[in-house]
Amino acid sequence: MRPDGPSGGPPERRPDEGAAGAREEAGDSAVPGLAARRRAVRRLARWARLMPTRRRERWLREWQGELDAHFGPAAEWDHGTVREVERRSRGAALDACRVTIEEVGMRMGAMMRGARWGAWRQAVRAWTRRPAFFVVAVATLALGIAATAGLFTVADHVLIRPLGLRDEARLVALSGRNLEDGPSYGTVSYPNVRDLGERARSLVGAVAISAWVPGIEPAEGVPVVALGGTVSWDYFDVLGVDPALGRGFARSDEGEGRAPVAILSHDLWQRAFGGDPAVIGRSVPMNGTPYEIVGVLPERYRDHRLLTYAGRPPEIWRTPWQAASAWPRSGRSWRGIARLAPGATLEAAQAEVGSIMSALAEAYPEANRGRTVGLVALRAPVVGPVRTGVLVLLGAVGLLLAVSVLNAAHLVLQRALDRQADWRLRRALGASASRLVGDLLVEGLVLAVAAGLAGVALASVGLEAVRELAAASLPGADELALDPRVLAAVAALVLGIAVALGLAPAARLVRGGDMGGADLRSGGSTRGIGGLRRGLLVGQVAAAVVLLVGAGLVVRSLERLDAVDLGIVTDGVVVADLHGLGMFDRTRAEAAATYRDMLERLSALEGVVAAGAADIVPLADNFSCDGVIPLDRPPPEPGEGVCAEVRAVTPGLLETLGVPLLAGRMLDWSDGLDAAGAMVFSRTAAELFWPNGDPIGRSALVHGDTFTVVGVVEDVRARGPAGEREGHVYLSAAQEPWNGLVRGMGVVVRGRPEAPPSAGSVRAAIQAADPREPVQAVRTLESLRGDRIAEHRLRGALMRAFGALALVLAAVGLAGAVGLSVRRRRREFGVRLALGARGRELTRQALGEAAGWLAAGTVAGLAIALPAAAAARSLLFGVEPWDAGVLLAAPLVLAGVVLLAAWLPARRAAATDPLTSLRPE
Amino acid sequence: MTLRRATALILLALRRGHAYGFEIMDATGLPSGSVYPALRRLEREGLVESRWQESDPGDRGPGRPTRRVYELTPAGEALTEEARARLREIEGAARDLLSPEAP
Repeated sequence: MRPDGPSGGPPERRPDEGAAGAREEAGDSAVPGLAARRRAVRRLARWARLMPTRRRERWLREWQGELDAHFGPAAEWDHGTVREVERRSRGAALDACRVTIEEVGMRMGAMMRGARWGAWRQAVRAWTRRPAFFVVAVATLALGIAATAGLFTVADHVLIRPLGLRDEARLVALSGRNLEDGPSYGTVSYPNVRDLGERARSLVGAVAISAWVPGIEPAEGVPVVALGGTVSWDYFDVLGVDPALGRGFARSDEGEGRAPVAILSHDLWQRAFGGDPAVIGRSVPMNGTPYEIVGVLPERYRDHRLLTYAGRPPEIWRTPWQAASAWPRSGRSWRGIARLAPGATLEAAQAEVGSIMSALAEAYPEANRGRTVGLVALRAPVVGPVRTGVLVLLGAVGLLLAVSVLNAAHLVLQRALDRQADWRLRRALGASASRLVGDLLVEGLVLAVAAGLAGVALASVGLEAVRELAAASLPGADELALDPRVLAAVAALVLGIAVALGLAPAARLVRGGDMGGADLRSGGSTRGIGGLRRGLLVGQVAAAVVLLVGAGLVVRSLERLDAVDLGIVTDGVVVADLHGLGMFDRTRAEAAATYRDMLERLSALEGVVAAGAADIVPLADNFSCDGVIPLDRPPPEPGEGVCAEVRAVTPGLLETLGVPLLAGRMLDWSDGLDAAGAMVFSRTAAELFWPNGDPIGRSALVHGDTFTVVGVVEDVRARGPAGEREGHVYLSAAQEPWNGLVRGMGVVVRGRPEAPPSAGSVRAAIQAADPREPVQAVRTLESLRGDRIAEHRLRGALMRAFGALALVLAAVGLAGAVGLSVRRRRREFGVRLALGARGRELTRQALGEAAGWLAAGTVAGLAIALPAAAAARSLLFGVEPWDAGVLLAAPLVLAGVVLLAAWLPARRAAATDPLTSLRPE
Repeated sequence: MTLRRATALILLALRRGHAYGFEIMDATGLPSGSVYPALRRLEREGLVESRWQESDPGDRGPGRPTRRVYELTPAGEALTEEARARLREIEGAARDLLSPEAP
């Protein structure tokens, strides 16, 4: 018989155990059985490490014994046996996991059984005896839970939750882009989308939506202006939304000469029609045209995936029923969406769409040359910019939660110290160890459940605030609410916390040997703070530093944003949105006369300085880029023209906004229909089109008509404080061929800075000139400015809250740790006081410990904060990630608060009564 | 409580005298992840006993691993009849399902 030799060695042996091991290894490889056995034994040892020590030895011995006895001497194993041994030893992994699960289950069961009912009452009583302590621990945990649950809800909403559409994973946005440029969330033209839907076999359908803001005149009640969309007839079919009432659109609803039909959202149906089911089939005038209402969508559906008006989704939809010329191939005012065919991949669909687009570019070069359409997973265009922000906040919240659990564990541990005598007594009276541990678990559970309830309540309040703040920056923010899945996650979190809190002191008791005799003061290191907890304390200071630096940077960004000069006057300026409801049947001359009358009435109002109107007012969430073709040089190749933000404005608009005139003259009422086309360029636009030379007197083709530059004004930041100063081209609205006046304008009225004109007086003046105009919203320009930086404001508010939270948590945490340390060293302090040490020295020493953690944590925190801030740089405005003020202020504030908090328990060191502390506990 | 198929198979394997974990796996065709947890549960319930196999020290080397032997307790013996009935039940159902369908 062959000696078992090396193959029978202990399983823990590793090949790197010296030269002998190496030789054995080499010898083994010649005999497949020996090598296989060695591998199997090593695998068993690895898995055995998973299970509790108590079970490990027997398990390992049994498995090894079976391998040897069942398969005979390893040297004689043939290939079949080797394979079988491999298989069985792999199966051992599963068994090892089972052993571990059984063991944990049995222990938990024993503990809870040992705890019984009385333990619950007892736990509640134990906490009520120290209410202050309980409140602090619950508050700490509740803050962490609330922040986690609230932010998780936001993240879930933005990043995780399905869009509420049928099989939304198959939906892709169609993003028009120039072939040379990188990705963009560009718009597309309706005929191109139609052709893609019909030709691409990798798409089930391709549909589009474009803005439509109708004034609705229900039979009774006041007219309503609704945000809406013009959509392909199969829009809702492709999205997978079925109407709750009536029917969806049909193919026969689309195209020239069809009867106009519309579908309502549930909200609009309630608001404008009182939720009357008889609205289906009714004819309702919208912008003067009768539309038949054919359907109402389900209550939960929000159409905010592609098109929103500053975060508000469309609420009414119609099909394109006008002449096809109203939706030209060159009119890229549509947002497209498509559904991938079953089995088609995004890549394959992209390739097919690309080739169809090049065919379309050949067929329609004037509209499509140099352009293609990209496919983007639907979520990206909706929430792309918000995503980074949410991820940063999630990271912050993870830190907060960890810190709050740590603190609570700390507090519980500190309390456990105070109750040692109690435990010793109960142990002496015959309580079993598992019973005591069970009691601790129950106490932890009571604490965690209280914290969970408080946390959920706090999170609901917080979400309410976020809903308000996020309305303009987060798509569908009004849907934010704690849902069952978040609550389930909180419950799991609470359970985990409970076990952690209960087991923290229990582990110390068990490690101390006999429960009754365990002396908690001697557990861990001699300084009274174990390495792990020291690390945790440093960690929470670091977390607070990171969050405070983040909050500082974001708040400073906000200050910078507020200080940005937009190039326009916003104080005392209000904007009324007109939808041209009363204008649809007027000629351009009549409309211009109405506006002139209206603006004169507005200017005559008490305290009003100036008034004007524009088709797109600055700071509105609406932009254009229209071709401008100078006439004094050869026309550009198709697709190579330069576009600019073109606005149709009335005389007085630029004066009302306080935009300074640099050269030439402003527009006035003489620039009417009969006069030569007049326009004003802003500085950057003038430099763009006529880099060398005076732009005054030059002509260009804009919106298809010839206009001549009569003046140059300063640039403005029309996109809000975070935007650039851009070049604009202002056309005389009365001459502008796309009929801005009739389509509806924003009327801007400037009063005195301290007294903006009232909404009522503005509305009255407008309706005096045009009685059919409902004038739904009159807003201040300041509030529009606020909307443009809403995302920054939201982030600022959240980061400020998190920073404050982290500050409080770090203060509580370090104060708790100092308290614990002082409590543990009571005897030592007593002895030293008795030997003549001065109280102040002891206080300073106790505080010194906290200062050490603080310093280490600050260094670590700054080391994390700097690269993190650099990575999130795109979220900052006008401030560098290494802003010295913030980097200095954050640690200073933290140090001040933390040391003050730690000073309170540190004082107790000096206040130790030498006699008390010398007495045995 | 109805016996699970795996438990019934293991009880009968033990009754036949298959006394080691691997032998039981071979006899029943069950994987180790089923056999060992079941054996542990049966032992906890007092239906099975186990011990290390007594080995003759003269015959085997000192490093020689011993095997764990499993045996039915009287309570376990009593359960084998039920196990047999349970397996017949399963077998009957299987036969019905496997037989060609009646016209």
